[in-house]
Amino acid sequence: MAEGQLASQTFQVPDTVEAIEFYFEQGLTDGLPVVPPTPDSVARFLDAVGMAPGQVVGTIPTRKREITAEKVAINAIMAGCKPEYMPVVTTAVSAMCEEKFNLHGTSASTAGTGHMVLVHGPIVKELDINYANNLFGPTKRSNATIGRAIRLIIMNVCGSVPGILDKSTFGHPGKYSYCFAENEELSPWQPLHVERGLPLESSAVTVYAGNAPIQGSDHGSHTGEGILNSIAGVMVANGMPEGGEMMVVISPEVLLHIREEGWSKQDVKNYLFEATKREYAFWDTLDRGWSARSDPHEGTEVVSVVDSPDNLMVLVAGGTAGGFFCTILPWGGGTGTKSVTKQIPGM
Amino acid sequence: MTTETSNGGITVMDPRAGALDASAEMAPRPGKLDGKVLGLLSNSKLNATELLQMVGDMLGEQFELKYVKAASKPDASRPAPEDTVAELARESDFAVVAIGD
Repeated sequence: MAEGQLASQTFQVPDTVEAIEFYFEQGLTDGLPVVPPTPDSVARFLDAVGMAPGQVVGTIPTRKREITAEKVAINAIMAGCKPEYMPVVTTAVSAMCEEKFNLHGTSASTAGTGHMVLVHGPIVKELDINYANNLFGPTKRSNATIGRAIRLIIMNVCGSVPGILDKSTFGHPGKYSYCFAENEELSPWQPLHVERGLPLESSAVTVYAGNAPIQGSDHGSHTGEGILNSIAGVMVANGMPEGGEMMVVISPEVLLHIREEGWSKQDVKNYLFEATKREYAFWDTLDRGWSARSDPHEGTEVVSVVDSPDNLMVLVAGGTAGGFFCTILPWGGGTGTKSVTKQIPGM
Repeated sequence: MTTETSNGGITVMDPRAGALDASAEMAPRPGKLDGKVLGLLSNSKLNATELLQMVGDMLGEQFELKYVKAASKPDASRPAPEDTVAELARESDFAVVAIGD
């Protein structure tokens, strides 16, 4: 461990089982049992990322709170992480604390978004992060515990305790854990971190305040256009053109025709941008959100679900069988948050 | 720094962190409201401005307010911009904040 003493309060408990119950009683879990964090294990986790206990990983100025490496380590242990996951967790925390992500708003709102951690680069294989079959479901320790660590940090360090500061009307299952990776080998396109200017060989994370994945399917189209029209239909059915981003996750089977026909990622984004255009009256009738605010599109004849193709994050992931895709909408229409991609230091 | 305690139990750590500075000073009370400037700050959510307007009207009926200074946040989920708060503080003798949703 880098220099410095652990500063957190400690508690004495008779044994591990009693410790698990203690964290339940104190209201410090997400409803599942936690791994009891001991000073020795916290030191090991700090060693793994080369951080001193008091090193500030991120801050939430609105709440006058600092997230120190020590608190990240404690919550990561509780979540079931391995020490080697720490660089991903600390980088994700640091990215969430960037002003444009709006950690305060996204973790307090009735809209109940999750805090997604998308992992990029060589570290995906090193940590065995799932990007294939069942990637949003229960599979790998890394996916399950990295995402859970983020949730426990948001609850225990940031104070977004459900029902108190986290006012989610529904929340969603991804709030237990929301961590996965792209299938960078199968994808014919640059991964998201490279698109955003980082080297291909670097490892990085993207944090995104994402609602639950909305799955769509197309088992009948035999052209790229047909597939993309199906995706556009799901985007229009659920989205609202409020200036935010949107994530589209394409499964390998759905990718087949798109890849065979040689679509670039920019082609796909441009096509989806055009295919999700509807007359202004269509969106205005839906009234999904902008009646509460000033209407940015008033007087415009035709409006797409996103303001620009650049607001689409398109990636390949999922199991090899099944003509499915997912769209993942941003928190609250996306006006108050933007995804952040950040390289993992030294990787 | 050991994990096992002398009685065979274990030591575990607190995952929580509190606010760095939880203290806040109360502004001086304005006393009589007659002749004072009322500031209104809306968070811009649905009906917040209408709610504030109603509060302003009620105060206007009860007191001889000098005038009412209205302001709003551009984004409900973020703190009000510093210059908005500074302007409201400079111009108003007292202020009411409303949250609509």
